[in-house]
Amino acid sequence: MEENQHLENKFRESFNDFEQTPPESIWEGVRSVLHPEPRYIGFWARITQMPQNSRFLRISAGAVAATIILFLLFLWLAYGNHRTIRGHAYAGEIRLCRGTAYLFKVEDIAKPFDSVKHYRSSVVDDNGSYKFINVIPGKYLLRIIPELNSTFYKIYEPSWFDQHDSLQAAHTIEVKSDDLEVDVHLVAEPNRIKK
Amino acid sequence: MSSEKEIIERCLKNDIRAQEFFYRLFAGKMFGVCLRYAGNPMEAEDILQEGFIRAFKNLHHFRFEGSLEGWVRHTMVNTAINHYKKQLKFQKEVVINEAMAFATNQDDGLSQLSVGELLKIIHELPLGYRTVFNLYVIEGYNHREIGIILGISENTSKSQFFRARNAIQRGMEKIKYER
Repeated sequence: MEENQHLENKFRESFNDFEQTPPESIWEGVRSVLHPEPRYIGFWARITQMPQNSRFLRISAGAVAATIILFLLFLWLAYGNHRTIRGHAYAGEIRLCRGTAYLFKVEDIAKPFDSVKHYRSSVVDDNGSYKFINVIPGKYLLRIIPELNSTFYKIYEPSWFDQHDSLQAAHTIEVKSDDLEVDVHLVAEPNRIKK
Repeated sequence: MSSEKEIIERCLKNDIRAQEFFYRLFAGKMFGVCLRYAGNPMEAEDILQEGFIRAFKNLHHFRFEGSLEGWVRHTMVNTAINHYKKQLKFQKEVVINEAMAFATNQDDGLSQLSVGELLKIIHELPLGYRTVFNLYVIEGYNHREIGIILGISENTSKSQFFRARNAIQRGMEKIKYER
């Protein structure tokens, strides 16, 4: 019996103040139960919590980069090489008050007057100004028509750049890499202007 | 953290810093307790984690009538007992009704054994032996109380205890032989 008691005492003494440091993962486990992570993790949180060699992350980054490149390419193709044609319409020495500017694209340079197609139109304001933006490079013809209510109607004819009353006589405008400033002088009606 | 009361109050408010302080205050000693009840360190880690979660969830039951450490230890032992009960479902325990006498003609090699060696012996004990031995020797319960706690008869507790002692004795001999 004494031996038995000795054994028990030994165990009691040995384990009375016995301590051992547990691994850190135990606290992490306890904490995760007491303070669980919210179920929904936002997109950026998911991304930032992912290991850097994550396949999903690599694919996503590649897809985002490709999308951005394609978008920039689209923007460049759509607007990057486009130019502006602006200018004034003149009735004699003064600027035309109100009218419409028509821009025609010359599709076939070999046959400039047989391949003309309407491209765009723009308002000529009270100051005689007009403007065409985002014009793609190429050859164009420009025509100005005075408005019905304009004081110049019936005094000046609808005219082609730079001062012609017929398509065949019109001068082409070539849009290349720069914006253009083009003034158009209307042709006067033969019997209306006193010389 | 100035006092036990403040720590407890902040823990009850789910203050994570207080909870971590509480955990670090008792983790070492409680891991020691768990290592005695478990069959291996990994099992002890499971019991420790479960025990602390249980302690935090039941902290409002602490009435400041005894020491906080004692209360946490009690929680940890209860967790270990629950663990024992869960494991028992998957193990067939050897039950004998006749208590076996402990061999007394052994040399006293106890004083030479380290805590680590004692733990190794305990870990090699079958689950039931280990639990009964811990409850009887370290926690100080009698066989009747152990029977109630573990849901076994008093005689079963006694027999498992004597078998545990025999196994420990054999383990000690083995260690001495290996030296």
